[in-house]
This record gives sequence, C-alpha cells and structure tokens, in this order.
Amino acid sequence: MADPAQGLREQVRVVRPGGVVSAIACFCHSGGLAHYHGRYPLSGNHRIDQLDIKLDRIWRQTVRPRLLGVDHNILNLDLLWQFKEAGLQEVQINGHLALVSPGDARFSVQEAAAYALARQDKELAGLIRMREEHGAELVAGGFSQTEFHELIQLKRDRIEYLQADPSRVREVMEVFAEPLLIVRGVQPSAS
Amino acid sequence: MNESRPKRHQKEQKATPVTGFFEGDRLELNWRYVYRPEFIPLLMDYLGARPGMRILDVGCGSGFLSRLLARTLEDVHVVGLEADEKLLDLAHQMVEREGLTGQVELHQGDAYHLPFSDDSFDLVTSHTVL
Repeated sequence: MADPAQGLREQVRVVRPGGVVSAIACFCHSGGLAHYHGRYPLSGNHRIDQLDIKLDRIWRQTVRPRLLGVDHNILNLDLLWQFKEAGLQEVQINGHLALVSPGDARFSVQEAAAYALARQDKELAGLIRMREEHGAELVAGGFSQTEFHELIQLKRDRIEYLQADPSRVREVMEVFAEPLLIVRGVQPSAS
Repeated sequence: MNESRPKRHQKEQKATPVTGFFEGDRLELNWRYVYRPEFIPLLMDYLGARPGMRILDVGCGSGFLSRLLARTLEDVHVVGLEADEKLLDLAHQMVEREGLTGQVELHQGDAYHLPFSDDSFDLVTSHTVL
C-alpha cells in the first residue's frame, strides 16, 4: 500500500476490542539472497545472476517505486512503528526465512520438476512482459535491450535443459529465498 | 516523527491494484512451497489466528492466506477482500475447488475504505499488502 498508516487505521477500526491485527510482509528490500544454481552444466549461469541482479536493482530504483506510489524503494522498514502508532498494543514481530529448492528431498522428482519448470516459465514470461511494458524506462535506467535479449535467451536455454530431462532438477539444486516478517498487535479493550 | 523514515506520496489514497508481475497464479505457485506444513502452526501463532475466529484477510489476492486459515483452523469464518477483479475471480475458483465456500466469503473492495462496520472481526490480517 502507498499509505500503510491509512490502511492500518481502517483495519484497527473493524477489529473488535481485544482483537488482533497482523500482517505478513515480504522482506523484499533485502533483494533476497543470491540464487544458487548448483552445477548446471550450462554456460551462462553466472551471467544470468549478473543480469538478474542488475535488472532487479534498476527495477527497484525506477519502475517499482512509481507503480507502488512510494518515493523510496525500501518498504516496510517502519511497519512495527506503524502498528504502535495505530494504537495497537503488545506489538511483536517475528521472522521466517523460507528457503525453497526444487531439489529438496521432500519433493518428488515429478513435483520438483513441475515446480522448477513452472517457476522458470513464469519468470521468463514476467521478464518478457517487463520489457514490453516498462522497457523504455528500464533502458533509460541502464539495462540495455541487448542485455534483455541475452537474459531472455539464457533463461530459455535453462528451461529447455530441464524440459529435455526433468530428472535433472535433482542435480541443479536451485535455491530461492523468501524472507518474511510477521507483525501483530492487539486492539486495546474498551474498559 | 523519525525523519529517516521513507517518505510516501501525500495524495488521496485509493485502491489501485498493483499486481505487476506477481499475478495470482505465480503467487499461488510460490506460496505453496514457501508455506511448508511444518511452518503452519508457527505462522498461526505469529498471526494471532485461533479456532473460532471471524477473520478479515485484506487484499486477499488469489485467496491463498484466506484458504490456508480456513483449512488450518476449526470453526473460523474468513472474509477475503480484494480490489483486483481478476485476482478475485481466481480466488473464487480456488475456494470452490477446495470446497471452502462455507468458510470463506469473498468481497471486492478498497483496503483504504473497508466495507465493514466497526468492531466486526476478531482478527484482521493481510499478506504482503502493508
């Protein structure tokens, strides 16, 4: 939300005295952790990381703040403070770092391959859409059309590699990090 | 006020869905793996969610959190509010598919002007909205 304080005021209004307001926030301003690609026997994996990180940085500095209506690319820094400011009591914050790897032994090979391919398909589709809808702004920010083309091709190569033999998902051990913050506070009882 | 806090645009706020590249199906895809079963009891505790509650999920998107709450906790009634029509359609489909229509109701609405009366929920929560 562009104005979480206003949103929180509404949430506090509709919760009963003694009730709870809570929120899960993505700790996304960290930029997440670098992806670990394991031993993809493909050239260009380090290049994918370089380009992904560069594009993400430019996206967060240019397009994303404009879309979200904020002047800053850092979000949620003050969520705890805002819960207190909204009059909530017993405010507490907890964190959870989910590390997800398609190669995780808890997934079957079929499930892992389906997840890895679906995720990579969506990342590719998102990248293409990003270039179509915001390419000019991102190029002005320093990510060239040549780099877009190179990154799209590298991601296509990786998808083809997995599609050719889905059991390869066990070898590549990609890891994705999803850091989350969970904040909660209690609406004071009317006494 | 702490001057170092991020400044935000001072304009009249209204619900402007910014789903960007995080379409509902992509969120569904990732959250299924991020929220592994072993984390769910801890998450319920962190959120302050307990059985029997009437819960509002603000900006419910595809309804992932609404459905998770309804599946996990006994006797809860979850109301999901979402401004984006496409995401709300997806949420309706998912709620029906999972047989949760009795526990989850969905509304289209503005998170800045919640269409509910005062004091009407035991828990108000949200996922990557604030």
